[in-house]
Amino acid sequence: MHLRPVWLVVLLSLSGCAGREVPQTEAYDPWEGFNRHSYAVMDVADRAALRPLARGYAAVVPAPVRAGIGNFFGNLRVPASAVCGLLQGKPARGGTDLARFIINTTLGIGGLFDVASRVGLPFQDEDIGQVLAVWGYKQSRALYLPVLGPTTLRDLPGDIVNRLLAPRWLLGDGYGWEAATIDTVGQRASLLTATEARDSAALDPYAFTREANHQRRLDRIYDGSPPVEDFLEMDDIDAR
Amino acid sequence: MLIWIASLALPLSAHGDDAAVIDGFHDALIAAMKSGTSFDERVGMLDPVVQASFDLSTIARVSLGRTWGDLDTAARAAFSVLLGELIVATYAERFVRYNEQRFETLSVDAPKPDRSVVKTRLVRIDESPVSLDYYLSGGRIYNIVADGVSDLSLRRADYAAIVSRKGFDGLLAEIRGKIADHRAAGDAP
Repeated sequence: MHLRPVWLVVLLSLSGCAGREVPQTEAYDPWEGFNRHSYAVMDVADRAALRPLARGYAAVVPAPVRAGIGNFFGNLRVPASAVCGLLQGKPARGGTDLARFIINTTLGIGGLFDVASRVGLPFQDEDIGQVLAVWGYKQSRALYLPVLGPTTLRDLPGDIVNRLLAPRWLLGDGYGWEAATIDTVGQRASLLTATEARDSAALDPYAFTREANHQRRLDRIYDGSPPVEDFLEMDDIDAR
Repeated sequence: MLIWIASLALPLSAHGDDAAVIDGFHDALIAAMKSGTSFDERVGMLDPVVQASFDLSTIARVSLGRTWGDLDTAARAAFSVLLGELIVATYAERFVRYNEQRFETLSVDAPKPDRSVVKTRLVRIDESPVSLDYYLSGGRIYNIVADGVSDLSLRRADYAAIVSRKGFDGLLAEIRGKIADHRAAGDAP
């Protein structure tokens, strides 16, 4: 059997991590050198191009129009979320997403209006990384990649599907570079408040971003109720 | 019987007090936003509330991780004071303009005796609400989880990265620089 080098790396990394007992309380980052370099490159590109574009988009396009565009592209990602909910053995979450997609695509005019949320069917936000986590791949090494941003080896396939492939599966050639650009700029605009808060608070923006992504993923994996570290019991670990 | 009733009433009263601590903190943030005053004046409004509501020594200890064990009592106390200044400066910079924001308290849970989790949310115009879960011990805040992201975990990761590259003195310099950044941004028109 012939494996391409990239898949060999992925398989080796998966086999090395899947059973590893690494504390979930902090991100696992053995590739920190590469990740920091990648973060620095992306930060320059973001400050030079993507962030100004996102700020301009947020300033020029009225909020209801931005919401409609965000709803439209977000709706294209709901079927994948529904499948991932079912793969985790969560029929209620998968069914909610399925009903949500049908309602917003029809009554919501192609997904422009989020009718489903108003009738109690919020987006469940499931993905392949959460499926793998529920199947036992709890801890994975951190990655910071151009375009995709902070992720992990486990979450990378889901990020590629959600960010790059899912819209194309449903829109086909309709998801050309123009639509992809609007989608990307809109997603960046939705993160402006979060990245401004990070820039305001972080002493080491890379470490801050990596930890925030780790926490956010735990929150998603545990459907909004992650185990919160009992820091008050940590005297024995930290105080010497 | 009276003792049994009293034992039930005590935790309820304590957790009600914890909700009141959070309400008082939120009221101070709203007042600072509405005040339209300078950065230093907002710091003056928020500092007494943060000092009374936050367990700064616990936040400092957990944030520093293993480095805390290397510090003597004076250095620990000085770091706790500096961390308090940073927390106040951060709020004074971020909560600057009032635009119909409001805080809502959703529930109060008691996972352990003397501990509580006050679940709240910040509601904003044209933006999604932010969930804010406050973790209290002995009636004082030691962690805030915003939309699933723990403030204490972020501090631990952030400070550990700085200490590993620049040492504890480097961390102190970075925090003092960040407070100066907050002052500069907080006074900007």
